[in-house]
Amino acid sequence: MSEAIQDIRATAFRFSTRAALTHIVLTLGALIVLLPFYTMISLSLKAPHEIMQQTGGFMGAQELFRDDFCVKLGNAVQDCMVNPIIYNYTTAFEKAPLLRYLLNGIVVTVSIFVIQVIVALPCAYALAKLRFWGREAVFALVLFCLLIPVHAIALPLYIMLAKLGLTNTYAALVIPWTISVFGIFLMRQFFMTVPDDLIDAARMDGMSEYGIIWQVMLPTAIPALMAFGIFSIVAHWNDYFWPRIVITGNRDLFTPPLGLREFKGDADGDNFGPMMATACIIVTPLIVCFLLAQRRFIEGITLSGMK
Amino acid sequence: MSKISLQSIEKSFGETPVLKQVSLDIEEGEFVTLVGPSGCGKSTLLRILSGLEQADAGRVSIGGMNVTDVRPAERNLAMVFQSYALYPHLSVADNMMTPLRMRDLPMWGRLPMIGPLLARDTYRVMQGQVREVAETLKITPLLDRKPGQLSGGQRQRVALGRAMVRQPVAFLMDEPLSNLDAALRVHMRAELSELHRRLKTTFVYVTHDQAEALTMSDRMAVMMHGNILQVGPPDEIYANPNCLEVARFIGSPAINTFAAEIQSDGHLALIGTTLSLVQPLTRAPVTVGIRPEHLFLSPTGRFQGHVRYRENLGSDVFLHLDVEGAQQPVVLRANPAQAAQVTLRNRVCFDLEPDKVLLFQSTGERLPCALATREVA
Repeated sequence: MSEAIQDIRATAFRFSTRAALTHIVLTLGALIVLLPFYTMISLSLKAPHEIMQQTGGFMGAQELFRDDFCVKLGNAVQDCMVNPIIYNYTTAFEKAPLLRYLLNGIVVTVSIFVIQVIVALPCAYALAKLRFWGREAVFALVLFCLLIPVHAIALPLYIMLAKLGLTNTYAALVIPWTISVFGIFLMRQFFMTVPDDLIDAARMDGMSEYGIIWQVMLPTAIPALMAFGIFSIVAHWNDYFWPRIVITGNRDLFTPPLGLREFKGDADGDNFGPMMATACIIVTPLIVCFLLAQRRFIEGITLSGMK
Repeated sequence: MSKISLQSIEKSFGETPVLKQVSLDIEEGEFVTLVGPSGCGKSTLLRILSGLEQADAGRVSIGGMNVTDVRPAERNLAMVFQSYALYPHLSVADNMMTPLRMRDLPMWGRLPMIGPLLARDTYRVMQGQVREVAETLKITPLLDRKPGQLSGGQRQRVALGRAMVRQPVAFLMDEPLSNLDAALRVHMRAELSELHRRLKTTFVYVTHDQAEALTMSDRMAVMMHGNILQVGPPDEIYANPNCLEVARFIGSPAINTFAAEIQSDGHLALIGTTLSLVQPLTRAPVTVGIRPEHLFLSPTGRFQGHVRYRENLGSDVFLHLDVEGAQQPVVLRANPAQAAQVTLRNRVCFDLEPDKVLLFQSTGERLPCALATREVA
C-alpha cells in the first residue's frame, strides 16, 4: 500500500525534460505578450520625469511633482504639487470625457453583438438544420466571406454610409458589423452538434421554426454564444480603424480607443502618464468580462456542446 | 373515433426508395409495433405519420380526417424519441409543460416573466396536469431537476410524461428503450404495456428488437426493404410467418433453415431423410424452416449431428449442432436435464415436430403445406 503511494509520488515529482521545455517556451511566450501590459500599467503609475528618464522601476518613487499646466493657469506652485497616480488617472478623466467614451463603447459593442445574434442564429439554424435547395452553396459563400479583410471593403462601405448621410452617427459604427459571417459559421458548427430529435420534439410540441430558434436553440447555444460574444465585443471595443474613419468631427461619438488620441503629442509635448492611464481604464472592462466568463468561454471554444 | 390509417405511402431520399406503397390501418387503442432491421423504413413511416416528414405520395388520416398536409403539432400526436430529446435548459416540470404552453396559451401568455402573471388560471390548470402525470409516472420528486441531473431511465419517464400531458390521440415511440441497459429495458417493457392498458390510447411503437415487438404489441407489422411484409398478432407472426424473411427476423435464436427438395413422388428430401407431406406437391426445391424449440433430442431420432457449442441460458440450453448436409449449424432447444447428458463434440440424435415445420418456396414465399404427423411406411 505505502509502496503504491510512493510510486505515485515518484511519478508526480519526476523531472521531465519535455514538460520543462514546454513550460519554458510557454513562459517566454507569455512574457512577450504580457510585457506591453506591464509597461502600460507601469507608465500609468509614474511621474513624467520618471517616464522620460526610464527610472523608478514599476511603481516609480510616488513623489509629488509639479503640474506645469496648473502653474500656467496661475496657481501657486505649492498648490500644484500632485501625486503621479492621482494625477495620471484624474487627468485621464478630465482632459477627455472618458466616461462618455466608455458609454459610447458599451452602446456600440452591445448593439453590434445583439444584432449579430439576431441575424446569425436564424442563419446558422437554417444552414445547420433545414434542408433547402442551394444550402451548400450558401454555406460556401459564408466561408468565402470569412476570407474578405475588413480593410478591403472599408472604402465602399464608407461611401455608402456617406451617401446615406450616416457618417458621424452611432448607426455608422454599428451597421457594417451587424452581419457577422464568423458568427454564422461558429453557430452553424455548434448547431450541427444539437441532435435533430430535440428539434423534432419541439415541432411536435407545436413550436414554430422561429420559436425553435429562440426557445430551444438559443438556450442550448449559450456557451458558444459566450465565446462568440467575447470575440465580437473585444474586436469592436478595441477597434480603432473603423471609428476613426466614420467619426470625423463629433467628439461625443468617440469610442474609447479614439479617446486615446486626445493625449497624442501637441504643443504641451507627449503626456504618456494620463494616456496610459486611459489605456488601462479602457482594457479593464474587457479583462473583468473575460475573468467572469472564462470557464464558459473555454467551454464554448472547445464546443463541448451538450449530451 | 381515432383510427389511424396510412394509405399507399411512398417516400424516397434522393434516388433511394425508402417506402414503397406502404399501407397500414391502426385501430383505436391498439398497440402496434413496426419492427424490422435498421434501414427498413420503419422510422420514416413513423415520422410521416407524425408529420415531421412529408410523404412523396399517399394519404395519412387520423380519425377519418385527412391530415397529410397538417402540421405535426396540429395532429395531436405525441412522440417519444430514442434520445429522449428533453430541453436541456428547462426543468422537468417545464419540459412537461411545454406542449401545454404551446397549445393552451395565447402568444402573450407564453412571454417569460409576465406570461405566468397574465394567464395565472391557465398556468394553475397546466401545473395540475403536470403534477397528475408526474404522479402516475412516479417522477414527482424530480420535477425541479434539469434533465442533465437524471439517469437514463428517469429521462425516459420524463419524456413519456411530456408525451402524456397533452392527452394525445396516439403515442408514437421511436425506439424509446434502445438507450437503456438490458435490465431496465425489460422492466420498462412491462411498464409500457401497463401504461397502455391504463391509458387505452393508441401506441405506435418502432423498434428493431423483435423481443420488444413480441412482448408488448397487440399487433406487429414486420417491415423490410420499405415494405410491410406481414401484419398480425405476435403469436400469429411467430408461428405462421408468411415468408422466409419474416421467419428469419422474428425469433431468437433464429429459425433453422435447410435447403430441401420435394421429390417427384411428392415426398420431401431433407438432409438425407425423406418425409411425407400432407398433400403431395410438384417437384421443386424448397426451404424448410423449423424453430429451435420444435427440434428435440431423441435416441431414435432420424437426424444426427455433432455438438459444437452449448449456449446455456439457465432455464433452457441451446445446442448448436453440426449436421451433415446442412449449411449452417442447427440450433436445438433442450431442457437443462437433457443437455447435462450431452458432451461437446459428441454425436446426438434428434427429431422434429412435423406439424411445426414451415415450408418456403425458393422465392421465399410460404408454401401452404405441412408435413404429415405420422410417416406412412
